[in-house]
Amino acid sequence: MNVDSINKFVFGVKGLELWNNMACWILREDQNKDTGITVYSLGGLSASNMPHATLKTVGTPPGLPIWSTNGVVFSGDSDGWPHNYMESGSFTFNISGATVFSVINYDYAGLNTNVTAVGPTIMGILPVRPTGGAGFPGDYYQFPRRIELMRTSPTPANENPSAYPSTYGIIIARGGFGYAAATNSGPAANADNNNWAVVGMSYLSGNQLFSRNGDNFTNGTLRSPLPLNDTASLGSLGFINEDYRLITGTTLREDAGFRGTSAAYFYFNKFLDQREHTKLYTLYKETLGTGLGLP
Amino acid sequence: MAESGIKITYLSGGSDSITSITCLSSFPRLKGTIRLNAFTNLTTFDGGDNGLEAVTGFSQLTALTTFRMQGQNTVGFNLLELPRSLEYFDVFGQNTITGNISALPSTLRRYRNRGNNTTTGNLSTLPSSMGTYDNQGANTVYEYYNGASLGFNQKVWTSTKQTWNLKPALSSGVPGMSPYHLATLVIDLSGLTWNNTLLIGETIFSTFTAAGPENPYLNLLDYSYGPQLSAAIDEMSNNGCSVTLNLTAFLDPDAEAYKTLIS
Repeated sequence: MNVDSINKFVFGVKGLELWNNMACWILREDQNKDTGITVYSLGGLSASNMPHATLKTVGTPPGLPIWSTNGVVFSGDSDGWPHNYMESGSFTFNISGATVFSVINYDYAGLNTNVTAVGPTIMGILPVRPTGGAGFPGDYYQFPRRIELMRTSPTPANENPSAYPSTYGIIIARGGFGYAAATNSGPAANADNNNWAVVGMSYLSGNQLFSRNGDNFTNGTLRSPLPLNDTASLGSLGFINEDYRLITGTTLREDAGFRGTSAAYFYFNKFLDQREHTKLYTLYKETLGTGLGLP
Repeated sequence: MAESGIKITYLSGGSDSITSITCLSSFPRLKGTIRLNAFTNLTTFDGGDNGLEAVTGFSQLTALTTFRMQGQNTVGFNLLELPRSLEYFDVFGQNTITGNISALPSTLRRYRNRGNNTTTGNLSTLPSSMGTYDNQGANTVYEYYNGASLGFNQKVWTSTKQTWNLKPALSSGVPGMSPYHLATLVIDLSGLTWNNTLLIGETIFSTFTAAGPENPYLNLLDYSYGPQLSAAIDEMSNNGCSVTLNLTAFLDPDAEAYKTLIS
């Protein structure tokens, strides 16, 4: 158990005066239970309204998450619905602003070569509403729409990870919000599977801020299969009094499950500015993220 | 029963013959206000567990070198009133020290105040002869230390609620340090010179910067509680000086609770 890094991280978050705004799930095996399906949460929000999470599986065959040195390994298959994900208990979503971060390493090499779409990990904050239909996650609104923030270089031509692996998909979902993140890995054929990234997103009344490894991610191209005005839906969420949960580690795409390793997920119930994104990235890198090779 | 007490109305030889007042016992107790202006040759005032509420008239004294108060006094002081001859100022208990530390007498060698105070000021103005500046306790001091050098063989104590704003213009960090450190208490040691000792207790999140080449002679950093020491350690040790670093591990209660949870 890496108590020292956990301690330093806690001190650091308190030093930033964000402790009471945070709940996080740190998934490296020496930073959590490292066994079973319960993921314990850490942060000032944990006790009140951000409960622990559960690792779950759906589909056949189930892709069981595996605890490892660098995090939980999601073995999402590529032939259809994603097979594993992490789900928090219910909590009250703060409509006045929120920030999420994920620390992941996307396993491009593990993708089926027939897969044409990047199936990124997502961190979604979703209202709990039965969809009444089949499919994952079943009890929640699915992510029917998305806006993707792409790197400008190389110019994306399609979503094939071998063609342009540096995808940072920002998910704008109806009835919730979240984001997708893929690390800056090389093409599938050359992927070294050691490209970790911390991707963050904040929103407040329609204002959004994206970051990657602490830097503002503004040099990308925002594109969307939807009208961009859907972006505004972020600021008009109206489900304050409903039951929300956080899910992550899965995909919104039906043709690619998340396959990779997740080291941590963070939730803040407020909008964090760029400076705070940078500080948190640095703090994570120097404490809980030591050894991941974060840039 | 009427409260007993001692009232000195006549001193053989005159009050100017008194060079020392010592009352270290709890009985008889000195109470109320004590006026020292008549004791023109007083060199030492040593009060114990008394009930003093105020000390006045010592700003005019020219021989007073030692002023010590301990115990349950609730004395109010204004640093502006300290006599210009004073060398040792030791006050413990629930006293109220006001004023600006820049007004400390230039003769002062030791300043210790472990009570509740509201002093302000700039450490760089500490008298060069001062060996100890001790502001421990439940102080609410707000001090600015602008990086100017402290003097020879000085020892500085500080504690939880004191704010040291040393180089507020720092925005990009220092080598080996990360930007997030700057969001909290930053103590710049670059001003400390030979044989200085810095003792810091009960700080929640502190960072020491520039304890390297700029400060090659810091030889004791007693950092008992805070967990955030990083670059300063290596930099302190590579300058050919003897460095003693006293570190006491401290686990944040929330980290402790989490540790228990996942164990």
